[in-house]
Amino acid sequence: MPGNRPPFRKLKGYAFDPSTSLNLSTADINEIVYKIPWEVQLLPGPEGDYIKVIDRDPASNAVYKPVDLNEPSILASDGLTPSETNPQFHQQMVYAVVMNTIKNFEMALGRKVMWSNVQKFRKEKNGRKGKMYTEFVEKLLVYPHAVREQNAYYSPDRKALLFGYYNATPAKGGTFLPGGIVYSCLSHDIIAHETTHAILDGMYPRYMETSHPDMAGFHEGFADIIALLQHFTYPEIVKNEIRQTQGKLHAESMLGKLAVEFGQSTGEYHSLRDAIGTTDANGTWIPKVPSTADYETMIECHDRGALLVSAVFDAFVAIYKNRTADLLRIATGGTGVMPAGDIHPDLVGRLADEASKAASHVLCMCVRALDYCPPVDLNYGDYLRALITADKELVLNDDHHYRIAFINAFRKRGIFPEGVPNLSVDTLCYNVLPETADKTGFMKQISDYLRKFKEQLAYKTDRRQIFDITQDFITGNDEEDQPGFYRYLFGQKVFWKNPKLFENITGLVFSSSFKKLGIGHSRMNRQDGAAIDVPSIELHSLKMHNRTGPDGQVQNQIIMTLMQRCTVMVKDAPGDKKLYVPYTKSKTNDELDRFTFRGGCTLIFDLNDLMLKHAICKPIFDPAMKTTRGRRVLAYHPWRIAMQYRCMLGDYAEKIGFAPPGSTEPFAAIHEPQNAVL
Amino acid sequence: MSKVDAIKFRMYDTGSVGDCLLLLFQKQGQTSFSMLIDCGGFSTSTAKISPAVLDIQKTCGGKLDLLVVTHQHLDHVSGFNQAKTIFDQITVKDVWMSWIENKNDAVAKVLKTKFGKTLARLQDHADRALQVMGNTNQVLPPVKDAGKRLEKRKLSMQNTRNLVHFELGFEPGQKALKGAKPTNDQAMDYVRNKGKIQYRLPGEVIKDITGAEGMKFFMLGPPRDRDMKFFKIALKDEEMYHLAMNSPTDEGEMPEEERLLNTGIDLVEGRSPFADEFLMDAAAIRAFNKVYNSEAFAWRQIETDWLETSASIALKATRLTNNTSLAMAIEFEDSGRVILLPGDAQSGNWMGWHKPDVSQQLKDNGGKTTVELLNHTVFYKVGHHGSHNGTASVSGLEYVKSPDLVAMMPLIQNAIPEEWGGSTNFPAKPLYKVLIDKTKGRLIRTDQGVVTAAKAKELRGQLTREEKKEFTNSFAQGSCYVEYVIRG
Repeated sequence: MPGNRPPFRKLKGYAFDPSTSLNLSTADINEIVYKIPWEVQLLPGPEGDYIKVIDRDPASNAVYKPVDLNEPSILASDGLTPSETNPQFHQQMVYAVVMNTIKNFEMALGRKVMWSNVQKFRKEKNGRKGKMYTEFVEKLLVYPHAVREQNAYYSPDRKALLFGYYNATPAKGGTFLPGGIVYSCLSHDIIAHETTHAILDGMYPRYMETSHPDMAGFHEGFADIIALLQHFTYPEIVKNEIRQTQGKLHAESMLGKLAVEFGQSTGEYHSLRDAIGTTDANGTWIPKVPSTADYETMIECHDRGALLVSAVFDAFVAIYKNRTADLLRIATGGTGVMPAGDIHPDLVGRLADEASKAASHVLCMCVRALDYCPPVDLNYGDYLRALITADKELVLNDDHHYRIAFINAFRKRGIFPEGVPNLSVDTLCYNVLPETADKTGFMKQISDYLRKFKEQLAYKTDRRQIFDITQDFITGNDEEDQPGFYRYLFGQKVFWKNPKLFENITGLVFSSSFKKLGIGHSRMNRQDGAAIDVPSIELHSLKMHNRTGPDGQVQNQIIMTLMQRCTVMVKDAPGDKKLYVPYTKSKTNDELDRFTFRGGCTLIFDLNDLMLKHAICKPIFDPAMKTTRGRRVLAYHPWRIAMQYRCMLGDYAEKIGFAPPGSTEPFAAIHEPQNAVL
Repeated sequence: MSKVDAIKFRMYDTGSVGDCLLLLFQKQGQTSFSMLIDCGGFSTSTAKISPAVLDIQKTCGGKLDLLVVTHQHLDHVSGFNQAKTIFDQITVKDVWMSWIENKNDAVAKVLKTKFGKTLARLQDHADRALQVMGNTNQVLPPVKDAGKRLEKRKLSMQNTRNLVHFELGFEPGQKALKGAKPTNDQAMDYVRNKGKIQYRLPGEVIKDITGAEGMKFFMLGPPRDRDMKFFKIALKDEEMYHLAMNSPTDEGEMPEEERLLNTGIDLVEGRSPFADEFLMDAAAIRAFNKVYNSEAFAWRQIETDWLETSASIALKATRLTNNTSLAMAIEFEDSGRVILLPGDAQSGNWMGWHKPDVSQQLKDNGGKTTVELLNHTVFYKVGHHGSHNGTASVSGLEYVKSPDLVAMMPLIQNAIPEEWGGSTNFPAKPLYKVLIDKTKGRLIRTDQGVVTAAKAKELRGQLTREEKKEFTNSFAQGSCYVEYVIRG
């Protein structure tokens, strides 16, 4: 009976965390009802399409009974009542917040959220390891009571969220009971934060590599942004604050103070407090004034994350102010001074609505921008360009000047994109590739090929099906005579017509220069039968989305990410300089520092016009070499490779403080409280 | 009474990474006072350490005026076990340790108890995690790099176990016997009874010691810090620095045992914090395990995560003990030249020297504040074997400005254990560079003697004739030590 399916499942939960309920000014708003899209197949656990909550508590040597949210008594009362002592409520809480976060991402992206895949070996009959294949990870696992420590993390190896619980130390003070137990799985912010890590990892698995100081900061900062903005999307919470300010409606201080309170309730993510401002002993809000030096000086990964949070938050405040300027003029008769006493409840309601609307718009913008990011080595400047481009292409009319608000907020902190002549919406927006660039028409050919992909994917909502079809398009499926994109690209004549053009567009190496740069290769039979060496290119992802803008603008796009890598070793050169050369195995070479250097490119195809619209790339080679002349010699991108060396092995490595490459649990290390309890 | 005019500073090779420093105070070329600071190595043996101790015995004539043990770490005390028979033949007049080693000190008691409990827990956790991971019946899941990952996790736990053993004083890898007394404790007790024990507090200045006339001993650290604010600071961290500096008293929080109310519940291992009604019964657990332990699922289990956090705590524990180092400065009172001996102090300890009350006490008792002492430092024993966190740059080295600075680094690079990050992490490159610059190349290492780095050679080439002469004449090398004579 799909027609009779309820649209939502309502679940009670904490808006912040249990400690907020003990604060008189926030007690009323801490319990909210999360509205989660109804899942038909919701098993006890809860276990739905996206996640499976497993309540194994190894430190207690126990497993807790899974909650069945379909049980009539639970259904009838919007889920279990918030309680710290009922582990089944904990299961419900993580389910609600994870699903709510997923909902926000899907709304913005216009497609299903997918977790990162796992590489597995097929099992041969004799028990030996067979060929490797990519396996679909349908459900993220959520362990609400996995560890006993003040930590929670996303484990990329196990595609799981692990939450900890611990004894609050008396020194913690605040509303904690000394010696009481604090559960991180009951904090909205921690759950949303960790879920965001998982979603981001599903989109860009290479974002955990510290190739730039911004990389470690981005994962942290972005996760905090999502958690923070989600709060503001609930009007009740903002209403409460507006009511209490009694007319001192200074937007910065009100929203800033609130944001910091959100952060404090968790007690763990201090980044907010440091980034936005503080409240002094008298309760007066002291905002932190950003400086254009911030970008150059805040290197440590938490600081760096906070920098991004503060920039986005700044834009949000500006947007809110812009949206409410007229309301305040009406309410104050143009004086800007509110009469003393309580604010009219209607005005409270309207202001809160505007805050909530602005928050959800900004949230959508931030998420949507992800599609316009390069798959490797993202920096904040790239992200700003992605924000502007993504918004400009979907939202034709920028009445409320959202884009300018973002540019200003980033500028104030010294975040400037590379390679743009000036800071205006037009120049920050990625250029649309001119059709004239595609004289041979192979981009058109590729788009045409991708249209098949679209046709197969249309109306598919089952995530496993989407995965299977996508995999077939990437790697091929012999049974269905689907050659796969890679073979299509190299095997058929498409690409050989003009490899240099493809190099110029993607920043990856397609011509025979790949050998000089130490890029791997494979042997392939061309359509005409000749065997040739082709450079290895990872076709990392293929995603399709349909989005509709506020003006009815329909976007039909396919996003493809390509990556290429090589191993470089570092030699000392005169004058304290470093020389980067392709790694080859030898006894002396093995003693040198070496690292994996990657180039990547996000290609955005417009299916309406059958064209390649954008190529957003992080070139592996020096783009100054981009010529169409006959012979050219490619060399590594000098700036990128030097920065990556500094971040992974050089002077920045320690300053950034992110988990070293190859760590088993990178997020566990970064979320660990700095001042651990011994 | 004539005054001490020079100190012969000997740094011994103990067969592994470790500290063993003999200071021979000179009056007109005659030793008037002998002082030994620490004697140990990370993974050394009786055979390897004995030559050093025999040389000490011979040099001091079987009689030490002062024995100092900076902190209770294997690489600083193992010699008192391994070469005990030789030490038995050496008499010691005075023994100094930090206030932390005083079993009657209330603050120290709280710290040591907390710390002991932590170590016991860490060891237990590492052992248990290794037991699960080493289960040979377990089939590796068919996931890429599953084997590598498991090895990494195992290695991390083995390192943890080794670190705990290092804290307690068992050789790495050696099985800690149940009920066996940790050898570090044994060594400390041995030293305590070796002479007249005195526990030193920061801010104290000791002068007019017989034989060491003209010398002042300034006690810098460890800070008296009950809630471990300072002890936990291992790296330079501005925020924590201010936090620690602004703590109103040294007493900190009240220890649990002394509180009126015992609130909350203690999390007990193996016992759930939730009521029994929420627990699965045996039948349900069997059904659960069927899935959870299945081959398809095994790669996503979380059985050992809660034990594996011990790895990072163990590292922090080691740093904490380093921060309990008795740090001191010795001044030639006439010339004002200072010898800086920080033990293995890491940032928190260095920061503690600058606490206003400590600095003021030093001024009142000895005439110099912490900053003044650092300003006048002409000889520096590099802390913690040249690790990246052994020399606090802000609170320490930046104040050291003397053009005469000479530094000695107790380091045998290829003996650096894996759990410390391996030999490539030592000496820390940025620190090494600064030290070479500040000393103008006059840096001495246990394994190299005068350092051979190209930059150091270059800088030594630029020294004035007098400086060169002074440095060359003061340096000497024995079969098991390097030596430098510091003029007063």
